[in-house]
Amino acid sequence: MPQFDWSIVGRYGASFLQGAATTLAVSLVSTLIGLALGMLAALARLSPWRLLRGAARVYVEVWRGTPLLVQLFFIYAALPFYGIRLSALTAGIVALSLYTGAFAAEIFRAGITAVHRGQVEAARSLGLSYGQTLRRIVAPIMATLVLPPLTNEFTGVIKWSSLLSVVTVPELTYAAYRAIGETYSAVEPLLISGLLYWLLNDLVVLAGRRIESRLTRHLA
Amino acid sequence: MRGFDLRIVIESLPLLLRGALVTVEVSILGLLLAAVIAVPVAYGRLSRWRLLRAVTFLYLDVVRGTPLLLQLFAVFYLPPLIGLDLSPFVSGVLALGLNGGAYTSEILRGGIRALPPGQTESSRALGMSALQCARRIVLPQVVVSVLPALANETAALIKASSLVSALALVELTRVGYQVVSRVLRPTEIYVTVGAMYLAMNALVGFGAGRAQRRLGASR
Amino acid sequence: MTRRARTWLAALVAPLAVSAPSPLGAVGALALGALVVLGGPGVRDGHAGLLDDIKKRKEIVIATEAGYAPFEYVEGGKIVGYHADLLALVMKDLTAQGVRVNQLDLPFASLLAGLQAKKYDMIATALFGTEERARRFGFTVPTALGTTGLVTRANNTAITKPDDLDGKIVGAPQATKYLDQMKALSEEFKKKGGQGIKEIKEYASGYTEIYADIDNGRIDAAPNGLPNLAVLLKQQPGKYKLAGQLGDPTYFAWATRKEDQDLLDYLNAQLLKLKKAGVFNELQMKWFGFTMELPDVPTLGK
Repeated sequence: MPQFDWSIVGRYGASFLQGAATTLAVSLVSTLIGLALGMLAALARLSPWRLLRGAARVYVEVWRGTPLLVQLFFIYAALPFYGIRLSALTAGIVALSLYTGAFAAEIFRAGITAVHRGQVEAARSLGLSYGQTLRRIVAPIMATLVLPPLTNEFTGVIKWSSLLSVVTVPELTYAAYRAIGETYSAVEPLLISGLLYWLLNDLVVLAGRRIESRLTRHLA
Repeated sequence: MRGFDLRIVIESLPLLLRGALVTVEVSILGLLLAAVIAVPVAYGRLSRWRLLRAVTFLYLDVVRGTPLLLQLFAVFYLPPLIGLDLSPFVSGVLALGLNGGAYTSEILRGGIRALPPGQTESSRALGMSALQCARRIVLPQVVVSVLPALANETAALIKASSLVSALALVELTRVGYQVVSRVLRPTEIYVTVGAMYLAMNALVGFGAGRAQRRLGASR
Repeated sequence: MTRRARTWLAALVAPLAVSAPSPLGAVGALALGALVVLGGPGVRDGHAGLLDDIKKRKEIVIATEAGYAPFEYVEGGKIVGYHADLLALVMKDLTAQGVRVNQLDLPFASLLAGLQAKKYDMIATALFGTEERARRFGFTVPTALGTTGLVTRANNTAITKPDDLDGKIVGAPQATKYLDQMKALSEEFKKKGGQGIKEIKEYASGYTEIYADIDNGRIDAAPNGLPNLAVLLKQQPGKYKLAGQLGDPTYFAWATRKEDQDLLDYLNAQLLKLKKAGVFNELQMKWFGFTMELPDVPTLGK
């Protein structure tokens, strides 16, 4: 049976936890920015102006159709040639946000159009103003429709953030690489970081379910 | 301001195309493996036996809860512990297949559950075994009904193949990186690489649309 | 049949599992698939003399990080460079006996880990033999000089020697001796009352990003071997400049696992033979434009 070097847990534990914290922070920021971008893009695609619709469509298609790694390399290595020299961390967040935004745009677009027109008409006929309709009827329904895919997005971003290790952002995968390089042993760092990612993932999923049940309590 | 140097793109095209070929190879093989894994896992999740359900759920939770990059490294560095050694190519295919298989199985499972139970009941009543029922009645309908999601998953796999560059496998992204190292024009090269991925995904979308129209026409 | 062909065969056979007429057929198809993929040079057993094992297998697997010009880098899809040429000559005896050289290009940070995990037989790349590494691995006689130099942007007048790095930002690849040197230097600065190096960025692999980041200003300087820097200055004139030398002369060597003494002896014998015949000087002139004084015995740095 192969040996598991427990001393690595002790020696690199702090480094792994720090990396996990960075991963969580970067993912949270990127997801929030990405959601905002996604909402804007979704609205743009449903707007009456053709130019806006077209631009949003291009953004969504291109960012969903190309690998995040290539986008990351571009933002990190090519932009400096045009005077935009972002730090590794900023470049990583920008790349993740743009990537998430494109996927979130599609989720939002589907959510907005899925809210049954009938609901809106019924609400209006009952005398609710447009604002009230939006807040009391449309939003909660949208919440149930989009919350699961969106917690999905967050967990997705947590996993995609591992790519940021390639451009020197000190997140969890980066910590694993460092441990592998210094201990000459790949097993322990991979298992430890894998476990930490798995934990993060499950925690987010649990939290998402909690929030969803809270928000939709009144609809039950 | 630098202009877009088309010459560099044209010069690098042969190398990039060779990389794209490797991407296609890895993606197709990964897809096949994912397909082979997805069906038993989907049924495993729906099975009556708790142990089978638990095991498949564990597989799904681990694979969908950890980054693909880590899975790739795990598939490359862990097997030697049990005496196995996989090349970067095989590791890439295996990792993509295991990962894609997990997501595909969930897509299939959703489709299977969405199917009216009458189909299964009537075919079993006619004497078909569970296996025959699955293969002849359930799966063909499920695949057609979830085709858009499957096309999405295929596109995701093609993009995911770019990660195999981390094992220095010379697929499209890795070749792009190497060319940039030499010619130092990241804009031109990465835009070209991105365009090639877009083209591949567009083909997948086109093919899936065609297939859906053909297969779904009978509905 | 190449491994790629075998993988394709397995892939085409495997879907039979889903459409096989009986469960037995399905199991058989999967087993066949697995065998085809995993068959071949799968199990590495380091006990019974690795060299004999290699000759029996008819394949030697060598790991390299081909991102370190002019020692080893990729051009037109092949690994070329000083070490590539040297490796071909060193392996001549084995290739004459029908042994296939399988050279893997992998990221540097996990090279030694992979060697330990028996994923390959040896490492032929620009690697420093240090005392710490020598506790787990065996090193050949030096193949090249690797003394550390510093590189900065050509118009950077603030940094002309290592001591100017106090309070600056540097970058180095993960798991390299260069990185350790930077950390040690920073400690020294702090002991003498300075701020230490402001930030040491660790890069995933290769010097491409590091050089680019020096050029666009993300980092101020980076350490690298003098031969590499000499070639860099030649290939990209006017962009960079040398800012002094750091530490004692150190040497690159190739590595094996500690227990594979027979392979190590073979490598050393071949290397010394080539050195005596003047091949080292010839290749050094070809790739660097100068020759190097190298010891005839494995020489470890700190």
